[in-house]
Amino acid sequence: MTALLDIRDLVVDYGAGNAHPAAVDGVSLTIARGETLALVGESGSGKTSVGRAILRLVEPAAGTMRFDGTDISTLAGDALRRFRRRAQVVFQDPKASLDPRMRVGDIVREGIAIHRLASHAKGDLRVTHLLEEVGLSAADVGRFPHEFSGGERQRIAIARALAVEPEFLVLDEAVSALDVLVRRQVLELLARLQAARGLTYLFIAHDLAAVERIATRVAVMHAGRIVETAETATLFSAPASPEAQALLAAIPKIPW
Amino acid sequence: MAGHTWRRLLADRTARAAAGVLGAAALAAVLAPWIAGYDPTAQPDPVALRLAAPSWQHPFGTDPFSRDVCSRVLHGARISLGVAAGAMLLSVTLGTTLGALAAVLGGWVDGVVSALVDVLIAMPRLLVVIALVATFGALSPWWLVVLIGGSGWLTTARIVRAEVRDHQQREYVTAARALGASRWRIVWRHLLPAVAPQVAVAAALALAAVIPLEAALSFVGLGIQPPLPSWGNILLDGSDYLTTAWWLVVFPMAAITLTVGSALVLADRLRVAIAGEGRPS
Repeated sequence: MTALLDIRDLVVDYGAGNAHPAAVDGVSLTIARGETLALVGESGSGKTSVGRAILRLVEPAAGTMRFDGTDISTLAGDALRRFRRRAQVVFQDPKASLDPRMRVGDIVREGIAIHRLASHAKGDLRVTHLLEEVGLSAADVGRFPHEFSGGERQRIAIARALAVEPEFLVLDEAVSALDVLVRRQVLELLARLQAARGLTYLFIAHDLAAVERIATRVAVMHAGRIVETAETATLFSAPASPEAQALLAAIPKIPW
Repeated sequence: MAGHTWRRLLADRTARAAAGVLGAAALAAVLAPWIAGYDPTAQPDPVALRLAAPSWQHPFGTDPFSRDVCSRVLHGARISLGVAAGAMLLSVTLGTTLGALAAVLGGWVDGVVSALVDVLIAMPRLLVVIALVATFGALSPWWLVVLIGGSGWLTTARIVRAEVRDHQQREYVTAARALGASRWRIVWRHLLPAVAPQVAVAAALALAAVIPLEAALSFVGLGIQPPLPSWGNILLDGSDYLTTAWWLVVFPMAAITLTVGSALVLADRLRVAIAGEGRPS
């Protein structure tokens, strides 16, 4: 396995000056092609900022980010747009991340239109296939997001991300807002998609509840830094850092 | 859901009635040459038909020059509503464009637009327009549209700027950016549809403000010049006969009140529909 993503000494600072610590304060991590790295930490630990920096949604203050060997921290214009085809995101709350005024078909099609991936008729077909791939139906193209349940909405968001055929997905608390049963179904879907499409995941979460099932390795963040990185099994059996121990202790003991 | 603001508005009986009144007024204005019984400037018999009270032949009576008031009000609607609609479209288009540009581009563009709005909004609009008209003399209806519309975009710009800035922070816009959407695609596909209901409120309010403004200008003799009829100058003609020939004032006044009132009601119902966002309709 070769590293798809290689980040060194990443700093993200929202510009509050010296009095305020940086949101991300020197994070280094690598993600191998095809694996899932879980990035876990309590809220405010900087994990979401790491994801947004990789996606170039916030500008990093320092550090290098290499994606498939290319430096992505300075991409602009066409090069940045081409990179966005390769790295996509699913946010926590699909109610907020789906435009309430657009129909599902147009939402899923947006990436296809932006990157001119298909003609109009072929685009229709692709949208249909994508919806079926995430467990929805072709008849859903004409409906609006609010007509769906939370889990179905998250499937729409996943279909939108997959429409541009990315290699890498940032799952930013993508299952955190879902109830236990739906969470399990969406996790199964993500695992299936990963196997079928050879996807690489950065799985961001505030607790370890869903991590054991999906992650290859786990990185634990605290106050803008990574305090521990380990294979998932290792972290769950022998956590080294107090932060990891606290997160493990906080997992609800409900078998699922 | 905001996509359903329009659907909720359509289900609102009061809103439909107000829109109906405005639609009927617009239709009457367009069809005036065909539905008016008389030439609005014809003076058939200035002696016998002077200041005739409403009758079957002249439902709104006649004026001091024996002209048919009903025909004048109908043709006046063409001018008054035409100027109002034109000025409203101009001010809303200008306001939406400048407000959206300020929000999206930020930086010095935002600085210039915001400063301009802050300075101009402090000026009393009627007085500015009167001063300009007084300087350049009587104006054609087209110039009136430019003048009234060009001075009315401020509040629209403010509302659109604030709304666009709010929506820019939302996650669906971030998701579109992550997909690679250009700034202008985001404006066109996501932000403008999001602020459209607010723009519609601004448009209805602009219409309600502009109809009396044109009437006031014409009433003081600075707007539409006779013999061309407008609601304002029909009122001016009638003002000397208020106690003797009520029909000269009541009918054009009713036309103004009805259209302005409907526009205000429509703006209010739109606000209610927007406020209902997210609740089941």
